[in-house]
Amino acid sequence: MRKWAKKFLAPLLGLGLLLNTQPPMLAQSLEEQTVLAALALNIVRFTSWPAEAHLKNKIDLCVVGDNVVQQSFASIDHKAVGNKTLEIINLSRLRNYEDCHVLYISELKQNVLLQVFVEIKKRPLLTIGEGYDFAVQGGMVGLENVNGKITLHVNLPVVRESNLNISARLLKLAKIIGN
Amino acid sequence: MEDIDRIEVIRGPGAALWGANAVNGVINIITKNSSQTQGGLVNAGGGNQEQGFGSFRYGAKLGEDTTARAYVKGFNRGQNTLLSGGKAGDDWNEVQGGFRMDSKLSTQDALTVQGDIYQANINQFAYYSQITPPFQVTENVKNNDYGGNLLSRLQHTFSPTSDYSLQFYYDGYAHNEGMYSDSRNTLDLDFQHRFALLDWHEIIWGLGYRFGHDRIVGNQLQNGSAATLNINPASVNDQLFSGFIQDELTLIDNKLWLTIGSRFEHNDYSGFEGQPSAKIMWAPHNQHRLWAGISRAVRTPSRIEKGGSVLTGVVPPQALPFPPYGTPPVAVVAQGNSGYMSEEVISYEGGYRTTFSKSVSLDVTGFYNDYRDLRYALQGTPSFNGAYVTQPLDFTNKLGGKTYGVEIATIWQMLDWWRWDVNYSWLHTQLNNLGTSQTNISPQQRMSLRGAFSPWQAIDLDFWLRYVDTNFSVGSFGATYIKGYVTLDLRAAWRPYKDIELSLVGQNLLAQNHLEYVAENQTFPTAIARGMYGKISWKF
Repeated sequence: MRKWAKKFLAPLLGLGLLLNTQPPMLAQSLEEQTVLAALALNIVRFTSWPAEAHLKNKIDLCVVGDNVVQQSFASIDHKAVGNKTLEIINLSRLRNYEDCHVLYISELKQNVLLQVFVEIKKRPLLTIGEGYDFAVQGGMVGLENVNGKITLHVNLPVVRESNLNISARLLKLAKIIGN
Repeated sequence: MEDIDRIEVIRGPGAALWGANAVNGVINIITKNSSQTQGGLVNAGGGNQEQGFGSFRYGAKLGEDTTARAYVKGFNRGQNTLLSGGKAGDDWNEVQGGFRMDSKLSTQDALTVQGDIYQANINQFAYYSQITPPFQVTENVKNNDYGGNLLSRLQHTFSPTSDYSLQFYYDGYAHNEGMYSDSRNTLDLDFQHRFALLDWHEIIWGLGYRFGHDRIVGNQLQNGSAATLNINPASVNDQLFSGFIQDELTLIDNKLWLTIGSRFEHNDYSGFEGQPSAKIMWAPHNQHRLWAGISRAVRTPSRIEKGGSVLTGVVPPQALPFPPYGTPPVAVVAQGNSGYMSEEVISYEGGYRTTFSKSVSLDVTGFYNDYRDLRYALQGTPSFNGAYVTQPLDFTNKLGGKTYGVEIATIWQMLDWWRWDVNYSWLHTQLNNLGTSQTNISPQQRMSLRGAFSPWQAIDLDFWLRYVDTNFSVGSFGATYIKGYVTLDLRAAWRPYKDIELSLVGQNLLAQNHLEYVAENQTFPTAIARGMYGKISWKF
């Protein structure tokens, strides 16, 4: 999340309630999400898939999120990744995500998220989500906003288990979870 | 406040999912999992209206997969001003404590246990009627409230598309005030199951059972006069059985959805209630969403509406021009009715949502509500017992009407560190069978403008400007027009160190005090006073 989001929303929420009003909307702004989408594209560029993933000329990036998240990913649809093309697939419900090459999860209930990780365990499916917890709980890359700068948390054991390879150049910029 | 994760406001009838009495909307306050509130937090502050408040919360890990937190807080709030001048005597204080524990029993099972207890003293300067001179008396009343609740929820997740939860809660409270004493114990069991069917159905269904035991007794006035409220029977046990099912169908992937559902319940006051709802949503483009819905919701009768009687006023005896004759005093008594039914609304809604640029979003909703069987106090047949005349006002379901209007909400993220929220609503109320206004009418227009900006990293500045149109209130005082008003709230916060925040808040700054509503009975019109307070908060 961006700087303002963390700084403002909590106190605003507090103020709102004290004043007995309708609460503010908490959806992230499109601008903020577009930054995350651009970052996701770069992570994909630094990742290579094993032969078993049957990657042909396109990489399917599936997005789980609201309309703002979907709209932000439209900006990276059909971008070139090496000699392949990135294709954005919006999953308005959680089905057939096993067939994706990249799964971007903006928000899911905790219990559902954990079961998604169980179901795709060891598959060559790159998972990217928001927050440090995302990576700690079994996701591969968690994007966390720390004082206005986005930090990458990479859960290396999970990445290795799935036979994906994330370039050392990217890992150098990331905080590694596990050894 | 810091333990709240998010607040969901669902406008329009929510009865299909939430049950009876979710007529105009549902506000859902979701508290944080205790794993997100580890460590300590201390808040303290005070000012002229918020005279003093403080809270302490501490969260810790109780084991590999278990976290918990406990808190205690309290406040002392100052009194407002009577519209006629003078102190309103409505100051109050509360102390509250509680805990929440979250445990991951396995990767598929999660258990939450939480509870709270509280105690409050609420003062009130109130008026009551009596059938002997001086017919109306005032009292400084000290109301006392205490209660507690305990909730436990087990959630089992089969797969990403299937889970169930089983929840139990108990709530008990006692409320003692000038007019009556009321206590209630509620036990509730709730089961919900969510699953996916084929590739295009998402189904949620559930069952619930609630048992309640209460006791409501009218209290004698301080001068020994008879209680103004009586309820028969004084104590009841009541039960509520309910079930619901909702199916969200994806008709065209990422484009068209239909949600249909209904709640069916049986309660001891109005019997069987069916509350269906249907909503369709179309996304022609992921920037634009259009939706429309229709639903039915009911408000079930209260204990007072079924079997209560309240002395709302006494007309003093009048001397006739030919002494010694005069009229006897007339006691006006609002009278419950065992045949009282649920109030009903059928609601038609439609809306449009868009994020038409990176920084602006807009949400417009139009609605038309058709109300039936609303409460209306009908003059009954007077009776004379030799000393005074009783004029009953019988509760009936004879009022109907409609409301329609528009609500607009926009968010503008002008700069990275500057956000605006603008809301506007327009409401038209039209009641049938009423010549002159004999019931409360909500304000026709409301506007809210909120700005939040952070010019430096350690500084937050927020402001909130609000306009509320004229509204109309009817009570034992007669009818009152409440003038439209504008209020302004400001907040400034500064974090000199990472974990310490100092803030200064001003509320209702534009006037010394202003009137927002008038109670139906008991309390004199009271104006809300301007308030200022300072607060310090420390995390460790």
